Amino acid sequence: MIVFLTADALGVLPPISRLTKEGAMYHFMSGYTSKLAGTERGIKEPKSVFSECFGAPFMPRSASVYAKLLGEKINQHDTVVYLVNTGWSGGPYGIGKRIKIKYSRAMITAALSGALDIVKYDHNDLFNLDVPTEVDDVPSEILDPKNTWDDKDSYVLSAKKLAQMFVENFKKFENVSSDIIDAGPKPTT
Amino acid sequence: MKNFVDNKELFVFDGFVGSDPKNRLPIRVINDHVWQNLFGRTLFIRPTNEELENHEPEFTILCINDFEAVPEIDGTRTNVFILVDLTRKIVLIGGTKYAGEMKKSMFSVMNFLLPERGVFPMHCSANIGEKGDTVLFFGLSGTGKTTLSADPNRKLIGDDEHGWSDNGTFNFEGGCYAKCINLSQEAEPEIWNAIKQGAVLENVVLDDNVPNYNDNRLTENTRVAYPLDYIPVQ
Repeated sequence: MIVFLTADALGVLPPISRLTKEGAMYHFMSGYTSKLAGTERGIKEPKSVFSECFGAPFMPRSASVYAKLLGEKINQHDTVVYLVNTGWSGGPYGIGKRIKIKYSRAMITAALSGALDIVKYDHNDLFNLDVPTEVDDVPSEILDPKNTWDDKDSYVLSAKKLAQMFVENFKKFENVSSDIIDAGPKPTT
Repeated sequence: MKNFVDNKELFVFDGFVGSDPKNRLPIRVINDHVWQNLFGRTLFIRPTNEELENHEPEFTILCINDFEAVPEIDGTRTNVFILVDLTRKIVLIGGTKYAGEMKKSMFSVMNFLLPERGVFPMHCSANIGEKGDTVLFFGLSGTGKTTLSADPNRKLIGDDEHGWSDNGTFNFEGGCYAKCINLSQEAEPEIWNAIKQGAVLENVVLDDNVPNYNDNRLTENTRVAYPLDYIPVQ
């Protein structure tokens, strides 16, 4: 099993989603997370970063080389891949809260036990992600981040903004198969 | 750099990057400070006596902390330099005492070399369950790689650099390089207990020779390096 960890400070990505092989390659190449503005006062806006293969500074070859290896390993071993957001819920950094570690642990435990192989999934059309509707020991309402925001309009705006950032970032990759590009977020949804 | 180290006392470690005998890289680490060499010995894979007898390094890391570049002459951006030459198979590090540069430059080298052998090099933590089921946690700093891979019901393979070959997942490293700002015995007992004779504390302020993990006056990025076997297997 593979888990991609992202700390989404915008608070819009689901806390756990299951990825297709193409989705895994897309998110691996994107390497999205957020860097917080450190301890500086007054800085409310965290910085979104895309770091290829979750380690761009240490990856001298092009991201597609590593993504191809990832795809081969997934095929060989029928590896299941999850995207886990250990970042914010209920709003962005400053308004929402960091997702509790015990919830992230419970989600990973459920994935490992096979429990997430049999639950129902909702498709998040904007991020193009499959999101489980129930996970043991996790309140179901937090599984869809929109539920956790008081201001639903702001959620939609922020979510579309992030989806668009994914698309913009992915333009830097050349000669990527359309299956992989199609597995990414759909900001026009 | 060669002239600089002439007639200086140097410290040498011979070992490997990669715990898989089929996919490891024999290396030599040369330092002007002994604690940096102990770091290399801790984070890279230590050889057996027999392996040491016949050791032929393919890559050399020359890490000389006291040697600084002169940007106007050397064409570097600052006095600090980390230069990786994949053709001459040498890494030159100077002007910085951050020991992590040694491990991360060799990580980059492995990430360059292994894809040609069909091995997938990964910036991830890894653990394994009783049934031999492996979980890999990819993620950048601060996303929970170390925290979530430390699971009392599963054995930790490593917390930062791995390769995935046809024979499974292997650690590149022989040790851990844990953050220790605000470290407490209560929150992270494994790391706390690993800080003993042989571990290398870096940038941690000592009060009367006792580490003060809450003191960030040197940096937030305080570290400890210790061998993997300092973490007991459940």
